[in-house]
Amino acid sequence: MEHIKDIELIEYVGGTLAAGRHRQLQKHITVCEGCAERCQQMLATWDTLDNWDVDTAAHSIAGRIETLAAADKLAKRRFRTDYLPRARLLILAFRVAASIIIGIGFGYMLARWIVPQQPPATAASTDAPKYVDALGLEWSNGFVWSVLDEPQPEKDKEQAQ
Amino acid sequence: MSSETVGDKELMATLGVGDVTALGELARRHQDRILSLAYRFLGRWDLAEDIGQETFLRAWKAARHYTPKAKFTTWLSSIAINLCVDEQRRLMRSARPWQNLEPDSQVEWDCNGAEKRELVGIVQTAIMELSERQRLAVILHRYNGLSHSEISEATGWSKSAVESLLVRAYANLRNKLDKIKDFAE
Repeated sequence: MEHIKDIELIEYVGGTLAAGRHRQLQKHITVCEGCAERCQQMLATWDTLDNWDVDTAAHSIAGRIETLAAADKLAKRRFRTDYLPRARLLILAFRVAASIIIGIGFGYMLARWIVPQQPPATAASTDAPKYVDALGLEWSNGFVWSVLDEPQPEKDKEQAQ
Repeated sequence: MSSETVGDKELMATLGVGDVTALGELARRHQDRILSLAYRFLGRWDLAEDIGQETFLRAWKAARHYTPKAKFTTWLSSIAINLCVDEQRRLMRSARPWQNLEPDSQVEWDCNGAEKRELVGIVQTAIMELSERQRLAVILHRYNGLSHSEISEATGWSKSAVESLLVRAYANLRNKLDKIKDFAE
């Protein structure tokens, strides 16, 4: 028989192997000096580790957890009864306000679409000096003469009045 | 029906529908396992208590959607393990060179005599000196009694990785504990 694998030796010492396999290894250990020595070393380590027992009695957390859970449940219930209706009311108010704003906006856009806009009142003159275009000025009425050096023609004065 | 006869999975179902008394019962049943796991891994009782508390509160939050795939204790241990590993990494990140990260004093232990206290101290130090994964594997195997498959489920490591870690961890411990052979014999 082959030597016992390390992992099986650990389980053998821990007593977690199936009964049949345990007996097989036990039989091998009685005839194999190497495995018997390894087994003794593993057993010593296993037993030494056993000394570290932890006493949790002074550190119970069950009561604290129950208190926390009860407080959390109470807080949730309070939220459901006190704050949730108010939050819902606030959401409703926002919805109404949004509906009104959207309605007004839509009405304004509709009105602009239905009623055609008046074109800006401009009075065209055939006597516009040629350089007015070059200056980027619009020849609409008599106001342009106020920025020009030339005197305004009589015809344009009458038209402006 | 007394609370002792009700299984963990039934208690989780009860907790899932909002009965928080089931949480207290689950905590009473399993707090020793979780506290000792956290204490052995982190070496401090204050952290172990925080981890224990958080473990059960997370179990409560998960109760509504809990579907028993593994053993309840394995599932609960997996929550505690994740919290322990996160806490360990947080401690490592926030550690300053002058800060003392030694485990809690052995005075807290219920030991008989200085010899026993010294022995416990040596074992604790030997385990704390293992790498994070080896330490976790040994604690779950030796002290929490989890099988290789259960350790694999709780940690998410493959079964062969668990076995490899256990072999290396026990070999390291054997070397470290050689100096106290006199105590063991």
